[in-house]
Amino acid sequence: MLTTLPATAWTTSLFSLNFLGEKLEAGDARSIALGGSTQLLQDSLGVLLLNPALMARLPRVTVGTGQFLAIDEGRSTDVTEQDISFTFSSFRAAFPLTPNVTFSIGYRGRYDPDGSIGTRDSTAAGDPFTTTFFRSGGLFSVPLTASFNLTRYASVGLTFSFEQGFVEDRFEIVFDNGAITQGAGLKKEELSGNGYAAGVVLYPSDNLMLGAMWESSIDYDTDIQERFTQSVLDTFYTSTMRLPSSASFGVTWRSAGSFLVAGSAAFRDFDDFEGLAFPVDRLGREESYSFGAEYSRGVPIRGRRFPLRLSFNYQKLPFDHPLGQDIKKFLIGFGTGISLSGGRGKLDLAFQAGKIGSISDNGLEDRVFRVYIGISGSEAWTRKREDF
Amino acid sequence: MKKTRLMMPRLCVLVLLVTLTVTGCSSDPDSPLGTDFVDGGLIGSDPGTVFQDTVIVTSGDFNFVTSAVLSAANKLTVGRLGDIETVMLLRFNFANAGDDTLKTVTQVFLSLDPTDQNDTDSLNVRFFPMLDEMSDTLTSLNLAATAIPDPGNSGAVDRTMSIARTSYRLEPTLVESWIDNLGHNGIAIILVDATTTKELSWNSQANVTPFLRVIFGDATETRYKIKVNHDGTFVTFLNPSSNLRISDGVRGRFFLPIDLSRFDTRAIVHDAMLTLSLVPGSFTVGDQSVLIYAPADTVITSRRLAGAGSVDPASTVIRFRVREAIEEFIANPSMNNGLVVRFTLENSSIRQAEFFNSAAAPGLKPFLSLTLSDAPTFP
Repeated sequence: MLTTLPATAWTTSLFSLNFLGEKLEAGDARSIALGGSTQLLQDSLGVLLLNPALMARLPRVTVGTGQFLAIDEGRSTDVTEQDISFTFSSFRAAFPLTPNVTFSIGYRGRYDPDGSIGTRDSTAAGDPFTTTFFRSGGLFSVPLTASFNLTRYASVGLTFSFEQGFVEDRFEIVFDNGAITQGAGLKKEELSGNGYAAGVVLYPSDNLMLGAMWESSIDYDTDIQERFTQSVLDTFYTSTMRLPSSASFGVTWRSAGSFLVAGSAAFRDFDDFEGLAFPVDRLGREESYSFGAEYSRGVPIRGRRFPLRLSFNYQKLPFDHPLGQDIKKFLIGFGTGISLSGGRGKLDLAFQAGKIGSISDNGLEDRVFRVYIGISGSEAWTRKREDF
Repeated sequence: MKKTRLMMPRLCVLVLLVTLTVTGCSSDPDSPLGTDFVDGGLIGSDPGTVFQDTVIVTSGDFNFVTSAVLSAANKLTVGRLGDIETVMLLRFNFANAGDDTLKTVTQVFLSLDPTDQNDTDSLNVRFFPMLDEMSDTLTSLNLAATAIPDPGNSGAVDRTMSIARTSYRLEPTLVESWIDNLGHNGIAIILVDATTTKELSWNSQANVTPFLRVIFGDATETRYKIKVNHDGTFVTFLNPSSNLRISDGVRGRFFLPIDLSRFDTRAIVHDAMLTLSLVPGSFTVGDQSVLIYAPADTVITSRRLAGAGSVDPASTVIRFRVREAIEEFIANPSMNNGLVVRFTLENSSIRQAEFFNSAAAPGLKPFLSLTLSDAPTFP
């Protein structure tokens, strides 16, 4: 018999309670500061960049990891609530096998549904109780990537990924009077599947990069377990879920001096989504548009130069709330970084501040502040090639 | 100097990572934010509305008796007090008669030990052979048509029983047949005078129990004791109650049907309280513990414990928490065979308590108070 469960959920954003949760940015902190993981960046330590074709130009064995601290303030017309959480979002190790072939393996989070909501009430007889809903889980990917330098003007990358995840919804009804039995229910969906991705980056000139990436739809096999206080209701069954394919496009221009501007757009059409019993008439296209600029020479502080990065990101979430009302996400990013070990490593910091939704349009909004940290390091196991 | 320059950035990174990890592990109280998602159905799960309801027993309740024999007490009684009549039951053990089966019985004396040497009451009684074997589960007496005559009183069947007289003669040929294993089920000593309002009691303790003193033709003598746990007081309540009654001595219980058909089998039962209204003055002294059980099937004497409580004479009601039983009944209606209430101790003394039944005034009928929540929904 299910009675209560320890509370483990946390909120990264109010809207992470809904649908698949919050879309995670998988890139490193440099790309976050410049607008997001879909930005195309030429970085000898950019192992965490999303487009697989970008791995082809890593000169050495490179390992990187990214995490972020989220401070989210959820708002409605009546209530304001702040939550702090920490998320590990990505990891990757890349191994140049030949001068023109690089293999990488890693981990990246896709969506993070976490949070809890609670309400107070009392029965007609005056017994107070609390109803709490928890959501936790996440979709993540373990990509295996092979990247190729076709010519000095083009690189391609192919990815096969193991896709895993779980979404757990549970609730509790707890009475203040301990003699009254609590009630609880839990639904856990465990997902597994495989995916493919392909990316291409063109280098028409030394200053210009053009790229595109496509991720296949992912068909998940889902094992679903439902448990209740009424154990006779417990059930187990299987189902499927389909995450639609996505596409992203980017362009980056680097000046002869120390300036860089980058722009990208990404789309995933959730009209093709299947599974999770989410009402399909509430789903639409997920969109993301990013623009960023970097002054790579940076400012000098105590003998070191710190690059300056600034960006703007606009997203439209794939579901509406209330019916027919889009949910928009606006983010301003800025960041810097520091080179380590004579250029063999780097530490990047990015800060994002913004808003998701609005009280006037959606009745709810999140004011978010994120601190991203990315660390990458490399070792010359083999001298691969001259840097492009 | 170079080492320090390399160490500082690495140290900063380490400190930053630790700080982020430590400060990230915090949580706030659950917030009502996001309840619009639930109301709007987007999260897709619904814990179910909490509500309360009352189930009143309006018919189908009844009393029943599982045994009328008080066998565990340290005394045996015969007589009548108030509306309670008692009959003494005795069954002797002739299993080890041995050579006595070859002898002729010449005299038999039933020896009794009074509990109160100062009791001056006397009763007119008769001794009857029992046709059904004496046991502590008897609910009725099946007796021989003819009482055992008194050889010392010209074979008269009526006897005067008093504390002053502790020995009563029985017919030798009858006892000889018992010794020869020809059907001894027991003796019932029954009050003859229906207007009597007196009662006599006799010891039935381990070292002081009734016995038969049998004298044989060869002048030998044997004392036959009570067969273990085969003596008791058969109790009859002369005025059947229209109320629901539990009783000790007489193992009286009552049955309550519980109609839960209107509830969703998937509902969560948070609380279920059965309330019974006590008939004022109906509880006689004794242990106040009461238990309630859910019959395992339509045989209402077999049980699964559902709850427990106690009768407080100063209170007008008794309440039982029977949540688990009700939850099982709702989830699986075939398991709902009602509830039965009884004294926890049913073989300790003659006592009873009465409760208002389904025919009583609306505020006094038995009822069940439920706190439930609708079946949870996960799409």
